Amino acid sequence: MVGFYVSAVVLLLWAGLAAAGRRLAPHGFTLWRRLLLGLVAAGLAFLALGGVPLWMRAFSFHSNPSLPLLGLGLVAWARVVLERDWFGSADWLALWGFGAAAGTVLYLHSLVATDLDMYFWGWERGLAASALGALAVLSIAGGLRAGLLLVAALAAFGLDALESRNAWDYVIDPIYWLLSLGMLAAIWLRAARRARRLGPTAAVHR
Amino acid sequence: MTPGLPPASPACQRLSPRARVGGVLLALGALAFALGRGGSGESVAPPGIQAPPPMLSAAGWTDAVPHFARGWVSPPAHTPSVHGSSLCALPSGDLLAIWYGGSREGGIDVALYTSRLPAASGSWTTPRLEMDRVMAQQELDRVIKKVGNAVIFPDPRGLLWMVFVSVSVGGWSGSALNVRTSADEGRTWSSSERLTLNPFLNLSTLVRNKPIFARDGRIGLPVYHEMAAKFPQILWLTPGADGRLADYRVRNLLGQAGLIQPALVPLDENRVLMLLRDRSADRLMRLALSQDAGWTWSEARHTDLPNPDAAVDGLRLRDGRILIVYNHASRSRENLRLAVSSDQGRTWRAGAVIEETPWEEYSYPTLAEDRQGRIHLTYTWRRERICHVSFNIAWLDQRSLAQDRANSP
Repeated sequence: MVGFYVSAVVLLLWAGLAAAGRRLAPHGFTLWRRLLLGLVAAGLAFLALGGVPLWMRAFSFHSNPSLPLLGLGLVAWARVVLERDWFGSADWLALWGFGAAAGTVLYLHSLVATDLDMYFWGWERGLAASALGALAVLSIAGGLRAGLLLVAALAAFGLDALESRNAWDYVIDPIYWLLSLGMLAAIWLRAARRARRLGPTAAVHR
Repeated sequence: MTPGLPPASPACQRLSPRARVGGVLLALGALAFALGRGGSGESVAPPGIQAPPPMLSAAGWTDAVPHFARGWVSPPAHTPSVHGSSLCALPSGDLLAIWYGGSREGGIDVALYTSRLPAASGSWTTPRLEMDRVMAQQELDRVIKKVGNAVIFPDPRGLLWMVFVSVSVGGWSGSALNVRTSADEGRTWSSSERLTLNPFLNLSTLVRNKPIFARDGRIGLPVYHEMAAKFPQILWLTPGADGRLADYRVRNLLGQAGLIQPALVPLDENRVLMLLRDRSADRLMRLALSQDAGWTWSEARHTDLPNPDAAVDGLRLRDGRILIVYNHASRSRENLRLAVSSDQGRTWRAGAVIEETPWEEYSYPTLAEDRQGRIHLTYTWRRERICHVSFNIAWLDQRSLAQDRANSP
């Protein structure tokens, strides 16, 4: 399990370094330099701050990063390190929509329904796996690559890959939830601003 | 287009029909795998709880001579501050106590200590360090700021369990629970395992009191949540064939808002009473009842006993009555008293006063019964030491009568 977390931290650090590198060198890095950044990321992950390696600090704060969040990290890594875009706009919208909806239901439902214990359902292994499987099949059948992240979540749940044994933790976490809400808000704001700029006539012509 | 992202190439907009078929097959394979792995946890109410020790009639009671003794679990000045003791009777007949001590509550030097009272001896052994911040950090592979409340209890198979609180981020409301087991009554322990019990960064699950044992092997441990909303929870632990933890799940009692540190008292094979610390302005001890072995609970109702936002504990006596230990005050922890109920918690009869000194603190009591039916109580004595009191039912009745006389006009 520790190896899994170390890999995730190295991957995210690598993506972060590569993204920073792209800003510094707009024409991009050579493949060798990008690989070198991977080694630097691995070194940073084991850099001890106050006697505790960086990966362990991240793990202490967030022991159960969801598979969609890790998938987002992987997609970001592919974009900046391999210079490949794996997701289209429909995938991004589906990911943000799923994160916002699942997180809002899981974290806020008790404000409305005090007797409902949604987190408990995540321990109902058969029910949780079936729901996750159905969602993955529907997404993929609809052509969404993002559905593959749900397949990964399902496989990870089967393997007990995370510290948690609750299915919810494989598909949603607070960081992914807040990121999703933020991105949806940004999309909505951008759309609203564009609509205002174009004015009512443009809306009619569209 | 999504903010912050470049326009996607047409090729990566949607999966091709062939890729969709492959993806669907992959998803079905992952589903079959996840379902095939199964799980040992149960999602239904337990089929009853282990029967409490057999009831004895007054005539059959052998320990008829009143007994009362007081002693110390922790030596003087062992650590500047101590708190949160838990006590259990081991299958061998020994008693084992655990508590945390250090420079102050929540200090980074706080550690968990145990001490044993051998069945053949009258004195507690020198405290043994069981867990501190550094040990927890090594066993759990993460930053640990401090350790706190712990409970120990043997399961019906004789395996000893320790469940303890550790904090990686923030104060006590950032707590998480960890489990370790011992096959030799606490002389050696397995490595600690972190439990994930909360979806929000696994923050804020704490433990205080002893569990109930279901007939199917599950252990129902009363725990509680403290961050933002405060409410009790029941953590169901499922031991595997090897005795280690095979599965677990927590049931949130969200309807009991403002109530924490539940203490469970089994009444019979199906009914369990829950005593609750009251954090509301009412400052009255609350009770809830389960008719299905601790799976579902009635709404908590007030008792007429005060509760100064302090922990309580209870025990079913061998004559069927319920004994509780609590602070009989609404604002302070300056006394510690016993009370007994003969009608399953509906009314309470005042019992002995264990401690009473204005402006001092006597708190976090824990009750346990040994094989001879003698009752043991440990508690925090002025945050300086862990005190141990033992008594029997004959003494309890004698003191209740004396209390009745004192209360009568």
